[in-house]
Amino acid sequence: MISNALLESYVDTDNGLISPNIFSSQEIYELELTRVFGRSWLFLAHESQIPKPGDYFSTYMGADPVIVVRQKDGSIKAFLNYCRHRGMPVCRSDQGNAKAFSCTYHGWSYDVTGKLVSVPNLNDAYKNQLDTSKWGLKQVPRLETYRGIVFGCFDEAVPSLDEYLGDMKFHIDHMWDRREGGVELVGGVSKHRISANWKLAAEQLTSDSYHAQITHLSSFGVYAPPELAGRRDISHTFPGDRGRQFNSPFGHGAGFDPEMAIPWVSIGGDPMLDAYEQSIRPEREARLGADRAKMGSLHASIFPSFSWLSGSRTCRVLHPKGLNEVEIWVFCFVDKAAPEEVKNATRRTGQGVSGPAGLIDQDDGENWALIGKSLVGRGPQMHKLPFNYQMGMGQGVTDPTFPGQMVPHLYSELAARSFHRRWRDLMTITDRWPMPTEVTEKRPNGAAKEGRQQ
Amino acid sequence: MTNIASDLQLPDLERLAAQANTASRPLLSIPQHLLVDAELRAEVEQFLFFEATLLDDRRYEEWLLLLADDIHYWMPNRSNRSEREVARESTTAREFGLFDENKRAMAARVGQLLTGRHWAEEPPSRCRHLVTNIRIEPTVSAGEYVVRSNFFVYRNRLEHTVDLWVGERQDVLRRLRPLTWEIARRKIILDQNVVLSGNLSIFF
Repeated sequence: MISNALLESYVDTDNGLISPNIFSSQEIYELELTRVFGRSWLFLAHESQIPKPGDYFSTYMGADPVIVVRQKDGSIKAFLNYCRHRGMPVCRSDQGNAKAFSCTYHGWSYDVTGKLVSVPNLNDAYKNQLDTSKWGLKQVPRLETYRGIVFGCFDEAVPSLDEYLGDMKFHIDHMWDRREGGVELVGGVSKHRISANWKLAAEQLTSDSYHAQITHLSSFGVYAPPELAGRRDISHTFPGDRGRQFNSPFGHGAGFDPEMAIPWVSIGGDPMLDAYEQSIRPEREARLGADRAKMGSLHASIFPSFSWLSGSRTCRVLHPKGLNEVEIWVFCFVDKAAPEEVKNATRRTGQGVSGPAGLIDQDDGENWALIGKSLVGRGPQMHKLPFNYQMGMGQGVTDPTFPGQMVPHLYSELAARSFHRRWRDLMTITDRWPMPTEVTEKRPNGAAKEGRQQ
Repeated sequence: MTNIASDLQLPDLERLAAQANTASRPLLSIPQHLLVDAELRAEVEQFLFFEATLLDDRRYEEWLLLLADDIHYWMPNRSNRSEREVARESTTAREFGLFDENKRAMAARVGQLLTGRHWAEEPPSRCRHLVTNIRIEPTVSAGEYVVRSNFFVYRNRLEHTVDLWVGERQDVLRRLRPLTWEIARRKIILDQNVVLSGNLSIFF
């Protein structure tokens, strides 16, 4: 088995160097399903998707399929979607309402509390010697919600969701609790597959505004507001040196602009949405405070695999489907209190830029798949060369207006280093749940600047 | 609790068998309205083939000219639903789908391709649209037809990336004058749940 020393050498965050091996090793992939996905709070669903008793949503926690079900008492439970008899999925629908989940192999049936309630031939074939109370669906042991977002964790030892989210709650509230009633998800989930390691997508959504001006170059002329139409220099559309990048020792990250009005990434802009934002400004200021109300959020991600883009009102969950395969599920969220026409315009805006056909997401998929192609080749020369994660090293600051440590520039790899540091700690510390500590980074030293070979 | 075998509704096999074997069985004919005259059929077919040629030859600006000003270009998401809820397998027009575009948005998509900086299609992919099973129904509006067709689109990209998309298009086509048509509505029913390609950066 791969040693901790080797894993630590692959993730050299002190020097901003990360080995391609963490994206291309089958052994590492199989370990991270247990050590990272098995021990982190993972996005399961939003409460608005399953309002009534028996409503369920099928999803995954890492490589394991789970069903998230609303109970009769209004609480939510999640179960592994495996029949305890032979491992068949007991639910084969993406969502719906059910009284029971029945295996279509031999007919074992479970009620929505996970209890095994029917076993064909229990009397005659089993002679009633099967203790059905011991063979219910395996429940996800930890399930907690924040602002309607339902998270689950397989590890009993994980700290509370509240502690895990920590300073990130400041950024969650900014988008998910800016109006009375919070948000709801629009019906419909866009799902698509990219041949790339899941961490390439995850670290971008955590820490990378830098790519947008180049990767999404073709999108800018298309969704720029009319007054910018035809301008060739698009760099001013990004508030690079006005922006900030937040990072959390738990591996979360966000990019924001303290001064920006809410940006809508929409094709040609939408006056109705602009007017709506103006109209809710007093409510946002009252709920969020003046500083946060004028802040513009760009991207935000909760370690390891849940993120949202505020400009398109879309969130994403990443499901690993193999070393070099990731499934991206995109949902659209709208203020629950918004008028129906605003909800619909929000949905249309989000759909235009997000998901496999989204103007923006199309080009991200191309990048990740091409890096994936480089990595799965396992080229020995490529694997001698560490990737450079040095942007913003030693530039961390604090600011009384915003919680946590940040770099005073939108473009930084501070949060990517935090993401990989968190990943490394979960991968190497297995005798306890590894509580992170805040790290103060130094500027890169001479050897690191040159990218010493590993 | 009953198990799933106990409430099985057995189909009436006697009736099904009798229908298939007796002279009294109801005869199912091609719906009369699908029999349009040969000249119209030829024109609609040639229009769809011409459109496919423009896409395969990457003549996007000309393709955009085929879209009506009031076009709705729509591809819903498809989910897996139990038999009882199968009516909800496609997202509605107010739910989160894959495409939901008006003319301006389609122009933006074409504009994006024409920048030469749309990396998902740069270098350009090799695409082939196969259009089959064309069914033409007149509507109450003169010169407007509901045209359903099946598609099989092959995309080959860079060295060996291959994507295959199969589905149905439900179009409303308008005949503006002889040999000149526009697409007023296109609903694209892609036969995939998880979209298996890294993106949908082409048109259907």
